[in-house]
Amino acid sequence: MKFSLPKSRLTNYLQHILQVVPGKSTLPILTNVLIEALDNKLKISATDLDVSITASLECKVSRKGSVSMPAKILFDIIREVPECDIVFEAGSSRMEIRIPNGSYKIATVAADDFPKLPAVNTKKEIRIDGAGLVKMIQKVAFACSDDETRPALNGVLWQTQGERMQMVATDGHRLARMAMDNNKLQGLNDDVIIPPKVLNLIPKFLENEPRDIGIIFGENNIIFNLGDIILTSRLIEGPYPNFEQVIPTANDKKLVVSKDVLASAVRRVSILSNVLTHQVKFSIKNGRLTLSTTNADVGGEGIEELDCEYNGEDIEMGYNANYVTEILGKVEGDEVTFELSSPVAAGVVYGPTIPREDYLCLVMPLRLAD
Amino acid sequence: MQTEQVNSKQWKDCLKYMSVRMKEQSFNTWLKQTSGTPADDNEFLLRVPNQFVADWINGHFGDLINEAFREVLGRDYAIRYEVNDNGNEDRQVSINFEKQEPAHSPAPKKTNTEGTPSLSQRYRFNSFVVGDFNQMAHAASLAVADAPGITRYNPLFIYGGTGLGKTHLLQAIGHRIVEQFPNKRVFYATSEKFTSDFITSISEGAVSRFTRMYRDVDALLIDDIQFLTGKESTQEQFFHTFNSLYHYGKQIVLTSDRPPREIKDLEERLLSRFSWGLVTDLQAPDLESRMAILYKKLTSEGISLPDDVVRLVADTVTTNIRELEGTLIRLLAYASLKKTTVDLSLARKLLSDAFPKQKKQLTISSIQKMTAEYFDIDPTMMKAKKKTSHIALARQVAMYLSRSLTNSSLKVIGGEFGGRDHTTVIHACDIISKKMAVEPAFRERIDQISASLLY
Repeated sequence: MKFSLPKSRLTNYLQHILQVVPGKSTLPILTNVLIEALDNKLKISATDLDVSITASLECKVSRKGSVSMPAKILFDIIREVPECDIVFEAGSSRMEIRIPNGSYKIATVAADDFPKLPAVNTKKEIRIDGAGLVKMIQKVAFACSDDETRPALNGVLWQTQGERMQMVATDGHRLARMAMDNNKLQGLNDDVIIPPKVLNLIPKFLENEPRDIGIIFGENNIIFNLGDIILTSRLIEGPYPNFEQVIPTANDKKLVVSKDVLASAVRRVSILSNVLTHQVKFSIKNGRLTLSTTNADVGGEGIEELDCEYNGEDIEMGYNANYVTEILGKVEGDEVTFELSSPVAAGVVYGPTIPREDYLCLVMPLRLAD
Repeated sequence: MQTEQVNSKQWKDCLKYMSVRMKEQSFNTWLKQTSGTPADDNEFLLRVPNQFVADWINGHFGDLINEAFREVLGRDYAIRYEVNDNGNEDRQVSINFEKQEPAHSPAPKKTNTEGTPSLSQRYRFNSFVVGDFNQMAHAASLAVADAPGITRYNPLFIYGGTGLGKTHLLQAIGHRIVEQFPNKRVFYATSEKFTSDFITSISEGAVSRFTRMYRDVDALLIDDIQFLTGKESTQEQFFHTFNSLYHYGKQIVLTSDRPPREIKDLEERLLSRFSWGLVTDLQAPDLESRMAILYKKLTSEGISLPDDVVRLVADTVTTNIRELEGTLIRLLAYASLKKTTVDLSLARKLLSDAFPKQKKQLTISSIQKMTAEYFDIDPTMMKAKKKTSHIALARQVAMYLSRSLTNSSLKVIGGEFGGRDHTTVIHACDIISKKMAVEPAFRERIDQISASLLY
C-alpha cells in the first residue's frame, strides 16, 4: 500500500475521527484506525463499537491495500509535521510515513482484525436538510441523561411523522423538545433513540458548509451520510417515557424577562450557591423578580432584583442555576418566557423567536427548605 | 458534613445527661450520631442521619430529651428534626413519567407466594427476640414489611455475623408482606439461587423467563448477597434487576455478613446502590438477650430448665444465636435420651465436651511457630535481626499476639524475640492494632491466627 497527500487535508479529518476512538479500551484494536487505499481514494475509519466513522478523501494512490494502525500516534505525528506532501508506505508489518526531512515507522495490525463496520445501503437512504437537523441537535441533545439506570434517557428521541419531525431529550430534571417541518421526510414514520455521541459529531462536519445529508434507518442502527463522512451509531432500545404528558399545558403564571439580563444575573448569584444543588431562589413579588442565594459553607449571600412582566400571584421557587443557565443559552431572542404553576411543578421555558410549539424546555424546580 | 461544626455545647451537655440515663447500646445506636443546636427561642434543631432515626428518637426518647432540656438547659424547647442526608439532590424535583403510565409497571400476579417456597414457617417476627443488639434492624424490617416499597428504607440492607438472625428477619419480612398484602408478590432467594437461576436461564436460552421471575415482583428478598462477589455477569444481571425494581418502587431487602463497603470484588455501582436506602446491622447479643433467647426457645418447646443452667449456656456461647439454640437443644436431647433431668453439673460436663476450655496455656514460642507458619517464613526469623518488610510484619504480629494472648511482660516478650527492647514490643503492638483497625482483611487474618492458636 502506498499513497500520498498534503498534510492539511489529513489533519482536518483525523481530528474528528479521533473523537470516536476510545482513549482506553478492553479491545486494543479499537484504539486503531483502519486505513484503506482504493482507486485514488483513501478511507479512514474508527469505531468504539457503538459509534463508527468513515472518512473518504481524495488522494494519490500508487499501490492499493489496507491496514490498521494506532490512531493517537498517527494523529500526533501528522499534527506536528509542517505543511507538505506526506507519503505513506506500508511494509509487511510497519507503516512508513515519509516527509521531506525524514521518516517515521509504526507497527501495524492486519486490517482483518479491525471490527467490521455496518454496510451502507444507499438505496434506503432519505435525504434531509442538514442545517435543520444540526439546529435540532444543538437545541436538544444537551438535556440527555447520563444515568445508566435508565438507558432510554441516555439518548435523544427522534420522531418523524409525515412531513414533521421532532427531537426530545430529558434527564428527568429538565427536558428539551424541538420540532420542525421537513418536506423531504417522504412520509417516514419512525421513532428512534439515538446516543448523543453521534449526534454531537454531526454539527462539527456541517459547520462550514451546510448541505443535505442522507439518513439510513437500520434494524438497530442508524447511518448518517454526510458525503465525505459516514457516521453510524447503534440505537438505544426503548420504550422512551411518555414525555408529552409531562409537558404542562395549563401553567397560568407567565413570567417574561430580558434573557441576557436574567442569564448574567443567574450566573452571578449562583457563584454563592450551594456547590451541590446550585440552588438559586426565584421570588416574584409585586411585579419584581428577585434572585437570591445563601451559602452556609462560605457565609455567603447574594441577591439581585430584575424588571419583569408577570401576571400571576406571588410565588417563590428554587432552581438549579446550571439548568437555567444552560436553557437560557439555547433559547433564542431577547426575551424569555417562563410558564409556572406551583413551586414544585415543572416550568415551561421558551423564547419569542421560535414558537412555543416548535421549541420549548422544561425545568424542574428544587424544593426550597422551609 | 456540618454535623461536627454545629453541634452546640447545649446539645452536647444534653447528650451527656441522657447517656447515663439510658442503655449504652441504645444511646450509641440512636443519639450519639445526632447533632443539635437551638434554632430560635422556642425551637431546638436536631440533625439526624435519616428519617428513620428521627421517627425512632421522636417515638422513644422524646420525653427523655425534653427532660434533658429542662434539667440541663433549664427550659423547654420544641424539637425540630432535620434529616442530615448529604445528598441535597433529594430536593431536586424530578419529572414523574411513571404516574401517567401505570401500564408499564409489572402487574401483580394472582398468587403471591408463587416462587417463594423457600420461606420457612419457623422464621416469623413473633419468634424473633428483640434486644438492644438488633432493635434497629428489627424495627426497620417491620416498617418495610408493613409498607413495602413505600418507606424510605429501600433497599433495606441488613448485615451481621453468622447466626445473628439475618435470614430470620428476611423471611419474617416475606411472611408479613404475604399475610398483609395478599396481592403482592414476594420473591425470596439466596444469592446462590439467583446465580444458578441466571446460569440455568442462559443455558436454556430462557433469560426472559428469568427476568420475568425476578423483576415481576413487589418485594425481592435476597439472602447472603456477598456471594455475588466476583461473579461479573450475575452482578450485572442483578444490577439491572435492582434498577428495574427500584425504578418501579418495589421493595428490595438484602442481607450480607458484612457491610456493603467491605464486600470485596463487587462493582462500585452496586455498592453505592446498596447504601441508597437504609443499612443496618445485627450485633452479637449481650448476656441478657442471650438468656431471653434461650427462655423464648424453652417456652416454645414447652420445657423448663433451671436458671443456672440457662445462665451457663448463655455464658458459654457468646457470639452466635444459632449455636446458642443448638447447644440448648443438645442438652435437652441428651437429657431425654438418658431420661435424666438437666442440672448444672450435667450441663457443665456436656458443655465442656462441646466447648473445650478455650484458653490453652500458650507459650510465646508456640505463637512464634504458628505465626511463622502463617506468614510462610522460617521460625528462626522471629529471633533474627533481619528486617525485610514481610519478616518484620510477621515478627510484629507474633509480638502482638504474645502480648494479647499470654500474660508475659513486655520485657519477657522482647527477650523471646532475639533480645529486643520492650519498647520495640510496644511499637509492634501499636502498629498491628492500627493496621487491624483500618484493614479488615488484615484483621481477619490475625483473628484466624489467634483462633488456630486458641482452639
